[in-house]
Amino acid sequence: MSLTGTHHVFASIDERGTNRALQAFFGARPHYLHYGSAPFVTANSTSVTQVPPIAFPGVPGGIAYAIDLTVPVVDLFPPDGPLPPPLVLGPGELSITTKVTITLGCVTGAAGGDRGHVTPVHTTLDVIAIADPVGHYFSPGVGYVSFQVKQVLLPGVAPASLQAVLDCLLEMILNGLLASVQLPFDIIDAGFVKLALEAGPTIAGNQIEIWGDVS
Amino acid sequence: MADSTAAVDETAANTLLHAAEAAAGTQTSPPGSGSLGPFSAHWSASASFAGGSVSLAAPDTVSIDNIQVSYSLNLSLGIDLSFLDFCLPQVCIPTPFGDICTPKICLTFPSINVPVSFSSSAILSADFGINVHLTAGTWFVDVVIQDVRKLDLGTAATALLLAIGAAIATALLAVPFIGPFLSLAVAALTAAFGLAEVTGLLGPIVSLFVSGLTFNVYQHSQDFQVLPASGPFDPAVDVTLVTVTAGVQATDKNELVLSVDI
Repeated sequence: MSLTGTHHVFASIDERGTNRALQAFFGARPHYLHYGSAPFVTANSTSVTQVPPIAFPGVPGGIAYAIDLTVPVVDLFPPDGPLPPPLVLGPGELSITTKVTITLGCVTGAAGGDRGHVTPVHTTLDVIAIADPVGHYFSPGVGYVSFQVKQVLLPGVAPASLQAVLDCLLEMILNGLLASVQLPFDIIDAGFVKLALEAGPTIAGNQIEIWGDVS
Repeated sequence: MADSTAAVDETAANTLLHAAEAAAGTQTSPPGSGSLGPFSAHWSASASFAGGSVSLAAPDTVSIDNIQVSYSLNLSLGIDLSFLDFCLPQVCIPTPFGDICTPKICLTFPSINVPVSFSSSAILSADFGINVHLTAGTWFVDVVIQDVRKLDLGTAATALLLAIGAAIATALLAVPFIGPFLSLAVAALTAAFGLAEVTGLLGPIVSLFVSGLTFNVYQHSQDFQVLPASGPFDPAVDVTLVTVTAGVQATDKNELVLSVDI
């Protein structure tokens, strides 16, 4: 079976290439993985993104926190191995695995003289997500593929209600940061052609595939 | 499996080839020289390529039929007119007063250069191979001519023969004293070579552009910018193209496939 099928141009990037592109992206722009409020992060930089603390009555300056993720690793369908239930990687899907470290600025001695002393407490959790590829096409050669997370699981978190809260939190965080992650058509077709998208992106055989014509 | 794979079928390969032809532009050959019958010929030439129909054959043959080779030729023919030299001998007529003699008169004709500008086209059909190379930090995929199946000069040789004749006639008008001998000289000079000689001169000149003919179908810096810089905290995102390979794969369609590891 030909690669181009009923089209004239085919392009794909495989799992290793996708992960190398992600490593390059987050290596150059690590601030998409590291967020924090003062005092953990005091200014935006290439390395970190400053976010406001969580405002809460009676907590002067709000609740300080930080969220740090490791570079996500993708697994394109078919899966390299089984996922923790109830996650199932279906045709056309990818899984995203990362670790998240949630740090809370715990204000101790609130009733005494230590008021205002912030002690960081943190937890590191495994995160596994299921996502779909999403195509964004503008003109021949100009477009990109992004990822839309639709299911998140933090295995081993109990009780179930806490897991549900964290699953939802991480789904929002992952979709927030993945909105900035783009796989341009140029990296998929290596700049060989200016592809006019006709079909895809789809995921099969451990690669993201697109089809089209050349202008 | 390569990290990135791009494939084009023959239809898209035609589009790529025509873009490569346009990108190649007009090519100029170094000045050269040869002979045209008894005359010396110096020339400069340029050529460009357009059109043609691509077919692909595994493992790495790109066949292109009927490429139009448009060329321009500036010829300079060195013509020695000494064959027209002659002398009127002294003639003496006896008279009662002695012989009355005319002087001996000799006419010597110079060597002249005849410029000929000529443009035409040829049709080329050839098989090309695929050459992938990393040069000065840039990956190139070229298709390089391997076998010329047809180089048809058409009626160019006949047209060039006529152009040379016309140019000689024009050049001779500027030669002193040639007037009475003009038609004789043109006839003599154009008879000195024929279609075979013109073809023998033209063929190698056009072949110069065909020999080693290369079209570039892919060119990319080894440092591949995935995303440009987009703000003070978002520098450019780069990857390195570690390896690039290219070839023709034959399945239910023949495809030119580019494979890249990053």
